[in-house]
Amino acid sequence: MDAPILRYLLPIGPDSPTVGRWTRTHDYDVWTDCRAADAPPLTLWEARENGVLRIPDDETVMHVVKGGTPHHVAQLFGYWRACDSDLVWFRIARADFVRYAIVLGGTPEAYVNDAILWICPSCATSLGRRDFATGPHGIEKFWRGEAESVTAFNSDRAHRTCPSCGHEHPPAYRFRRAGLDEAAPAVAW
Amino acid sequence: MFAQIEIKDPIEKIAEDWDLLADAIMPHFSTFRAVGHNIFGLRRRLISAMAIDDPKKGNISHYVELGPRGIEEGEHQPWTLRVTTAGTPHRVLHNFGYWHINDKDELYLPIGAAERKAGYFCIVQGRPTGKETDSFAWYCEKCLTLLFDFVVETGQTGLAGFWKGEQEAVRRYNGDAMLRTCPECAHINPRGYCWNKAKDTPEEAEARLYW
Repeated sequence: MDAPILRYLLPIGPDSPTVGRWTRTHDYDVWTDCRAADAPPLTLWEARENGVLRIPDDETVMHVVKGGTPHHVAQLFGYWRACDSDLVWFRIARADFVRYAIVLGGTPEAYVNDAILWICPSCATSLGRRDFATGPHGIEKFWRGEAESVTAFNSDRAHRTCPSCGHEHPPAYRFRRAGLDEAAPAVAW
Repeated sequence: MFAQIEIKDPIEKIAEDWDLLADAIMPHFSTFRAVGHNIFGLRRRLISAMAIDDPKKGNISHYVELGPRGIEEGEHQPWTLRVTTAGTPHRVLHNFGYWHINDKDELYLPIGAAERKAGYFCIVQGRPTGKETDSFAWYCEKCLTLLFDFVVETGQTGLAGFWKGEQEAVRRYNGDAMLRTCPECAHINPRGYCWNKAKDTPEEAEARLYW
């Protein structure tokens, strides 16, 4: 029998082996990263009824994305995600580095559904949504669905063309995590 | 990318509490406060590789956990996100005088300061629901025999029940010398004390200095 894991230690530094990766604990999925201060910022956005809200790239930020709120992080993943779990976003800029963390979860039983969607950047019309009935602790279903959803969105220009205004959405891309065997997107929106 | 659909209003007008570490917001989390799926405790602290300095309690960087191999100890480090998993008895020396055992993970992130100012010590823990509990336990400091375990169904009572239960557990444990006397090795253990120093009796304040 495996020994129980009592703790997880995730140093958020440039040489840490856990940066850029997701770590699964009992109640949380945690992602951390540490980037050079002059690298393009990872900017968090939330979709609201009347448009999209940019969360400022301030020096020290701790922001809660409430469960069900579509959100997107520029340069990190090329879609909007609406998951049932709350998400805590950390952005801390100090000297030569900007440290980031995403803490997803807290109440696993609330995590029933996860979703990927796209929004026309010109007129905010929905360009499609895929829901994943994950169930508590079922986040692997989301990650499997992520790959399929991105591939499907990118497979046909018609999927990316807004039916309302004709704007063509740039291609989607998967969450840029460490170990992802996939070329960087041409446009990391 | 989103210039045409971006909400132009100042963010404070849309979400006043958008940044929990903002000077005007953080004091609301100086004890603990539930928001959505989590409970947050946020404090300004002088943070270094050597210490996390609490102005009232001193250095609170040293944590202790109880696992299958016995007691394991360590120090919180700046920029290291640490998660104590659900069910692990844990305590912080001089900070609370009992072993806390809860059904939810606890996450800690000490954030170093910009320049020579105080940094931030952030605690995030899952919000208990249903029949989930927090318990306040004491183990013999000599042989680790369980002496007393006071359980609160915080999934039903919320934080109010946690604080009420904490005080009741400490009072009961301290009020009965038999509870503090190990049935295995007969060692008489020190008193417990609450997280909030203002609740200390003189004897509990003495115990806080000790363990």
